[in-house]
Amino acid sequence: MNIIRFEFRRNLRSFLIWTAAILAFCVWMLSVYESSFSGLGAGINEFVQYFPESMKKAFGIDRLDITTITGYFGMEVHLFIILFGSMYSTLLSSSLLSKEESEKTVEFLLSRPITRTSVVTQKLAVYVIYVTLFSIITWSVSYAAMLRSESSFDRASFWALGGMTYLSILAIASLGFLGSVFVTRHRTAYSAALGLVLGLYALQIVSDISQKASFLRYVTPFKWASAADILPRGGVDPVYAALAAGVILASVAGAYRVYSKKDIAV
Amino acid sequence: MSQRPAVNTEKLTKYYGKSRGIIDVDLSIMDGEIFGFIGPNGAGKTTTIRLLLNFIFPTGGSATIFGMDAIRDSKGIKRVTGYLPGDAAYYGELRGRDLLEYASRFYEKDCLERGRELADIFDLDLEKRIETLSLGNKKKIGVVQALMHGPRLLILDEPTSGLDPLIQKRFYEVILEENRKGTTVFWSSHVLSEVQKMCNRVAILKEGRVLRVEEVETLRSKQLMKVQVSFADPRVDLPEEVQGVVNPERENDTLRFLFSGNVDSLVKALAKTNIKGLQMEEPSLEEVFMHYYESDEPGRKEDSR
Repeated sequence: MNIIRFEFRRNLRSFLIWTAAILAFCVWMLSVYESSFSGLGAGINEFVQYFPESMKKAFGIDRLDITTITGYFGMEVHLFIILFGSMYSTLLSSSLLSKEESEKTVEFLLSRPITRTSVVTQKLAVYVIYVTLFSIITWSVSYAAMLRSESSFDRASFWALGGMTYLSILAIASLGFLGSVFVTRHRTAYSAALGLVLGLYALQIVSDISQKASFLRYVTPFKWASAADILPRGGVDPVYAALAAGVILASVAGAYRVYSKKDIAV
Repeated sequence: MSQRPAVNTEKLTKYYGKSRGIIDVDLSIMDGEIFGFIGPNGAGKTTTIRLLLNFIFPTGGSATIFGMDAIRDSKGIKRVTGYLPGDAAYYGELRGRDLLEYASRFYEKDCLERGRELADIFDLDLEKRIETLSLGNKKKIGVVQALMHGPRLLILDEPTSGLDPLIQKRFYEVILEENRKGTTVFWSSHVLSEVQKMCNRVAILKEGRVLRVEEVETLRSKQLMKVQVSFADPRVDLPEEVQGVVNPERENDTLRFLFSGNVDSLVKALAKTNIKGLQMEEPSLEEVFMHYYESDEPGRKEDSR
């Protein structure tokens, strides 16, 4: 518990900054919908018809109706939450173990009476707690904001999207956590985390645009929590949910295994 | 000093890939002893310590501390061990006080009071952020966190580097005090004078192997003699029959060397020549130490003439 408490405090400020910034942007985007899109009706749909096919697919315009609050949320706000949320979460998860090594504090930590397994468990708990808090906060505020502008949206698919987004962010963060057991130099770990998130996002776009690359849908967590799939469907594809859970468990298991056997010399 | 080993290693070996860390290190440090561990940089001192603390895993061999296995019982070992790293780093954004509180919560007993006491002894300001502290003051943080939980074994890696002489003196006093209370000390250093002053026994490490383990006294007094002879005639040299001359240095009429042979036969051999002066004294550990290193190198073998 000692490490959880210590790391929770240590990472609180960056959590508050990221969450506040992302929330502010979400609320602002939802208010933009209220003031401009909601009145446009069919006009905007006609406008987006002229977008290139691949662009429509990439942003899910082919499956979402941007004139409804749900469609607008799925296309704009949700993308923002999952993209920046996973960026924040992965930067956090990949720093928890690697920072001890890059800042040479790990000898202090490991000379305390504590097992390496417990170090991993507590560090892991820190990012799980923060990702959970982030998801609860962003989703609750989005829910409230949507209620305010239109009371008749599909609650079930909204919460299904929220749940799957949470799992996907957690899966990406867990991959970052696993990676940080191998890559411990601070700068490299930082770049690798950002590269992982943006790379996985790019794969989602490719998987949406290209028929040939559609197998990529099993590779990138962004696809598993795609609003353009979940909202029209009204629920989560269980295959994707199982994949996300599998990635989380496998990453965490790998991190335990490697960390408890590796040489830690700074 | 009881005869139960506090630290015991058997054929402890570590390779980093193909590069040598330590090879077949056998150590047996008695409970209550202050044990010196000396060798130049890269000899494997820190590698040995990291193996004892299970920061790294051995390629071969094993280690126990108070009978606990270094790998399996690492947690138990750390309950009773204090470690002062050579190159210490702590969470820079914390104040000294926060760090000690964090460290203290890992132990079952309250060690904060002792921590504050130690900080007072070493003149350490616990209200300052660690990142603003000088190197010496960071080292003091290291000393306090290593000692605050009253460990039965202290592992010190180059403990006095960066401490000013006054604080070094206090440090020696505190360590001797802990040792009187029964703490075993494993003292790794390349500062030979302090090892000579503080330790009961010393292991000399060279290129990853333990060259030998000696009582500090034995090492200093019985093995070698430092000799300086001034000859009346600068062309005269030592008589042929003298055996055991190490690293001779000639300067006009004066010859200096370390002598590992029989003193009686040296004096008798010198009696056959005409000398102006003769000095013999116990060498410092440093000189003994250099001897161990140099005598193994090809072309610089013991010079017997």
